Amino acid sequence: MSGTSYSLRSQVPPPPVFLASFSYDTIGMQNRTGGGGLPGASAIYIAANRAIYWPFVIRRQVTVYRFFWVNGATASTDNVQVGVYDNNWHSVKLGTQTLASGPSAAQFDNITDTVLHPGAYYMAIWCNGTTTTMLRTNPGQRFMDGIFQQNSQTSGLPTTATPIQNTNAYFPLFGLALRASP
Amino acid sequence: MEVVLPRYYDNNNTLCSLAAEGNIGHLGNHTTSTSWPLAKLVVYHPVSISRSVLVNKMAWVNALTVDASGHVQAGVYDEAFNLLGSTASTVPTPVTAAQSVSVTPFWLQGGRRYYFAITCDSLVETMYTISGLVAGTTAGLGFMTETTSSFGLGNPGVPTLPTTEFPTWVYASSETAI
Repeated sequence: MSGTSYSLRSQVPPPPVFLASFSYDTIGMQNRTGGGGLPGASAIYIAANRAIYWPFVIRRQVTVYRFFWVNGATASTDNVQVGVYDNNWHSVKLGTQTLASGPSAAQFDNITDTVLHPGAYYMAIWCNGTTTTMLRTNPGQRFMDGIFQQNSQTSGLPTTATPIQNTNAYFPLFGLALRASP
Repeated sequence: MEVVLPRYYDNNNTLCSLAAEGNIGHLGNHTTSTSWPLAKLVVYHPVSISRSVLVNKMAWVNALTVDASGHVQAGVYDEAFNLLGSTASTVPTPVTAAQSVSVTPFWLQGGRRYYFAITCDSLVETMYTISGLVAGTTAGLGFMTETTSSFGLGNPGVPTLPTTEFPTWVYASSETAI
């Protein structure tokens, strides 16, 4: 094709340094437009032993150094676990079940450095009680299509997930830290 | 002819600390005029960009009160917290307006992450921020803060997890007219 060529060449941008459940790279905009935008609030975990799965896409290879979540006003005797699954629901990396500690602050699980190649994934969070609170928003459940859950996971996040459609309006802030520190 | 469009959040020549990355851009319009929280606090906003931009000016947004005896400085750090460029120490004025300052031009490379930083030495100076954020929110979005012993953006920066929730507007622009 002849003629003047206009090019506004883009690089594939790296994902946010904290690839979080609120990020555009997940379904953060659904959260916002569904009425769940920040500021959020502290609220108890939605159900003991429930795993919740958030879809996300990365367009270039990244290294995950830590998992994180943001505790609400009460960090308690409950354990929290974060992990990553591939698009076929096989776990790529599962974090350590860790006692929620430090209210109103981000808490980290330092994992073995894990490379994720471009593709579609799910980030997952699990908690074994309902005393622990997390920073969360609450968009209407009807605006949370794409999020899945799995109940009664007494042993934590499963190696292979078999989730069902999400049924609750509970949108915690958690995710993958692509920065080793702080 | 091939046209490759940039992603939605950096599709112009003026990048914004609260929109360029998209990580916190969906916070919406909870904007409140708020006093600078701590003298000499530096707030680092994480930003990812998809195409290279030559930065000629930087800007911030003064809110309802400015301090004629105060100073503001804005700059950009790379991921290793090296200061790539910054404004001079600048007296904030006027109220309720973006204030832009020319910088020695510097490049931001597409496909990389940066931190847009801003600092102020006055507790009287106000800026617009996102009100009502629960403690820990900006930590979970990759922000950082630093309290320096003397006013100004250090090189390198030595930030830690945020000690306060104060996301605000910092612009970096290739335009010379902002």
